[in-house]
Amino acid sequence: MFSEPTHFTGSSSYRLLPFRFRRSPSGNILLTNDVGEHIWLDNNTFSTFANKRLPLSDSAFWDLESRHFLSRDDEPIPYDALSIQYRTRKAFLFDGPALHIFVVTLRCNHSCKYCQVSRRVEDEQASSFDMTIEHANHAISHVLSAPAQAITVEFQGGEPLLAFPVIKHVIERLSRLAQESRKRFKFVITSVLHHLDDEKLDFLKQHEVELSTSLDGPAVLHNRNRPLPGRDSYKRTMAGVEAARRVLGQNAVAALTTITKESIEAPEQIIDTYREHGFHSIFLRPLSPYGFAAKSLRSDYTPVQFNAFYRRAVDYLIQLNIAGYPMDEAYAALLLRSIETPFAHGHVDLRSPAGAGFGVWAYNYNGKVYASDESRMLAEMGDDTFCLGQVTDSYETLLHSPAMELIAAGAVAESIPVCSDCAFLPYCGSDPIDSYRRQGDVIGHRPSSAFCERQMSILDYLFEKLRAGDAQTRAVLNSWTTRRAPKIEARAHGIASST
Amino acid sequence: MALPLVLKTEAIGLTKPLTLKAVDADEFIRNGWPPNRCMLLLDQVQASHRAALMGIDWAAVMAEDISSLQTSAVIFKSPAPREAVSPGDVVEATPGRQTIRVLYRRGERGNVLFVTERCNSFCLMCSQPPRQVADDWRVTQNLDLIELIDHDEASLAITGGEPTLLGDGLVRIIARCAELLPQTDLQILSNGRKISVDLSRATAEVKHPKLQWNIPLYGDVAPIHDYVVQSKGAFHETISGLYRLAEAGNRIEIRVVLHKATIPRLQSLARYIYRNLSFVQHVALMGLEPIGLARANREALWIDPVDYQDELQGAVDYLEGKGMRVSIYNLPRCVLRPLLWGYAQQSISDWKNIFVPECEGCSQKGLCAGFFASTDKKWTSRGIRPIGPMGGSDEIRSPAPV
Amino acid sequence: MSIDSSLLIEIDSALWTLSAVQRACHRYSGEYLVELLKKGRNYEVIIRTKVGISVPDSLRGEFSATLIDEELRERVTSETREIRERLIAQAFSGAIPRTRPRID
Repeated sequence: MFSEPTHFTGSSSYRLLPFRFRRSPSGNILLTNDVGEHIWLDNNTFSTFANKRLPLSDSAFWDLESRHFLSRDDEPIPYDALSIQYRTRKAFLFDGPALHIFVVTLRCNHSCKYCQVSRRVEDEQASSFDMTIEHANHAISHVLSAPAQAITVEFQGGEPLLAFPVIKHVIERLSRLAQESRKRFKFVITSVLHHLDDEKLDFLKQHEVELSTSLDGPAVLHNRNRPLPGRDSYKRTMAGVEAARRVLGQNAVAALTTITKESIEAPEQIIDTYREHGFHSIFLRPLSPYGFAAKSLRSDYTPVQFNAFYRRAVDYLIQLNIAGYPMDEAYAALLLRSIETPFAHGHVDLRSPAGAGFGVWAYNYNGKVYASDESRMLAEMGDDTFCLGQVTDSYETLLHSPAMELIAAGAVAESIPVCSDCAFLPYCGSDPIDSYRRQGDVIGHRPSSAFCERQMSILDYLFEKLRAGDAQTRAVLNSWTTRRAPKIEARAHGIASST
Repeated sequence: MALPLVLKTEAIGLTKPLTLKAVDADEFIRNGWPPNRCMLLLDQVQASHRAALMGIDWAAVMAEDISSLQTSAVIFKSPAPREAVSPGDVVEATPGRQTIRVLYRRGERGNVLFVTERCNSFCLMCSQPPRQVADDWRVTQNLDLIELIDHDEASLAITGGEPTLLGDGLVRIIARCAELLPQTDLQILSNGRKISVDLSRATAEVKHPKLQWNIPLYGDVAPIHDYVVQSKGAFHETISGLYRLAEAGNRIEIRVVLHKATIPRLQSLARYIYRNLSFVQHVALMGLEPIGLARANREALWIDPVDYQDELQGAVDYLEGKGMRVSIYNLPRCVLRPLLWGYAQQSISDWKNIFVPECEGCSQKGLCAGFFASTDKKWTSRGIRPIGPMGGSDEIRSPAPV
Repeated sequence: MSIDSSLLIEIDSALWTLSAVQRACHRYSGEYLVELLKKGRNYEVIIRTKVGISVPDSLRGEFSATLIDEELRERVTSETREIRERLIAQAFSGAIPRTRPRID
């Protein structure tokens, strides 16, 4: 009446499902597939599996089937499961630009050595470096034209609070139009927080605006990176953080670092500074090749040095978590989310097709529209290649501009040599702007790419922790993965760009 | 208290099958059930009102002493215990039988709409062994029954056999529930194998506000699932059914019965559900009910729950850690680790829910699922014991790692 | 250690596809200068360092291992190409189940 298990086992011969592989530094082999599933095999098992000779009795066999690396000849190929997961990971494609950056002014009170914007001052005559209301209105109409229902509007500069009237206008108008346009807006301001007052804070509270600031580490380090006449940038920023928290709540401000040559030797101190000030998320971000950083010696550290710094920092951070203080590294959290969940993480800087132009638009103070923050920084250095057009152009004109076509040529990692074979592809992204800047064309050359080297180092490090880390380490990493994103999705934007 | 559903009685004047709402005076007056659908519980009516009430044209009357009743209604002798039929309950009576069956019992957990004995699977542990019979008449009976169920009934399960074998009949039943019982949680227990695009759309279009499909999945690979349900191809059919249900916007719960065949890859199954079926609303990990076909398969099925706590915790931790809702059904607290108590529900239908002598004096009895009435020595965990008073909260949830 | 500053690897073109050889060369083109030539039936891969020191002899074995991996990648891609194309096409067509994943 009842049949034994063997009756249901089925064929032992199988076909391969699409996968990519990488020989990790640990000597094991990491296999991944298009839906972001992964599995570790030792060398022998891998060879046997790839030659379609792995027996049913092998301990890895059912995992390979369950995670869609093989499909037995008498079973249907799981197209539904694969295509639905794939669509889920690429769901951002249907949204179009969902991040809109308003560069409301070029004015700033700092003269940071790595900044790509001009060293302007905060006086009134410099208002020609502010975005006009007319331009803001055109930008607003583009925001409303984007298909996405959930849109993030981020205000940048210079120092955006110096052009607060523009910010106010944009937020008020979009808030009014939110219901009829059936969109939900998230507002973020990236700021040094030196220019907050009660009036501004009340407005921010009323509209649930989130804040993002740069905190490079202990005062000495921070002030050296961010020169002010009074040499007190750190103090004033922390005062701003406290004021913001008092009115907007404890998690009102997200912070990111910019790693300079001075930072490289001091990961623990940087993290300790964050902890002292009650932050629960840190975004460790290397310097960009843009602006003054390109000319300054202080940016001179190698990818190898950064990679060692990063590992040391995250090791330290994990120990801090285990000891009871929850804090994640925001970039690692993004990657972990990509590895351990079937969902897209939504971060425009790390996706394929690229976020530049497809997922983000930046409206510059002077009325020009750029494919990304990095694109407009490139323009500040004299290269306008990635300008989509004028803010007064139509949405369609901007969408089909030559700049967009150029980006498209390098936008799809799945088509780029080396990327297309890389096991990390599902968790990584393409950055045509970065390739163009560093290597001369939007496709770039991966074997000599610093971006690629860094990505692989971080992913090797995280995967090794997931594979062989102790239970506490893995629990910490899991908490980073599934914790609701910190109130502000710490981003690779702000005064300097990520690399 | 576990009151039986099938009750001995004596019937006078019963010429055709009847589905009847049991009422006393209060119930009849307050809720206005039509008398030709009702059975008056005469002994529960105040003596002074009896004459007046007996003047009404009831379908049936029930009393302890039926010898002196004067009525054209069908007469039933009260069952023992008398409370087995109380105001609000719905009973079914068939000519030629010495029994009546309670189809619906007010206030009980576990009321069902039993829609067919047919099934297209043959699970090793099936608690309701299928029969290949032509029982379409059950559609009509259930449509009648729905009309007599309390409008404030908290939850109903649509079960069998396999409800989707009814095809359009299932849609009609759901539609009637949407019409008359929109506030009732409606749970369809189905193997998911015969869920066409049309069916999944039709059920979603009915728009019952609280409809949920409960679908078992026993493994992350076909051989395990197919073996448990004894049907080749069932795994892939069920996965397809799940996607069609999700596409049409239905709410879905995945159920896993915990036994020897499902425990070894339980954590892989949890991962499979999370990655492939992320739209699922809830995962229920269920203790085994030792009844029906299960009894013939003890060797293949039985594993003492205390011996699978590692796997169970692993699966719960994984799903909880990913933000999926997960519950444990049908397992008593004494066999579960305290960290898992917060997930354990009192899920066993009242009419088959018992406690055992060891439970005397247990501090957790009020919160515990207890046991199936069908449990016997061969299906009893060695971990059953009373738990002493606990310090602090009884609701201990597994702490999320921070 | 090689006494020459460059490494010469000969590859039988009957055993290895050109594209696999090219891909293997490409992988080393970041760190080294790599030249690929055809000499009769063989491919010749010449690897030089960018800074004028000697190329370690161990690179010969590494390159072979890389070549084997590239050949495997080609085979896997070729065997699974249709499946990948179909899953992507299905993902973006209107015809597949459109589920609404829970948003974390």
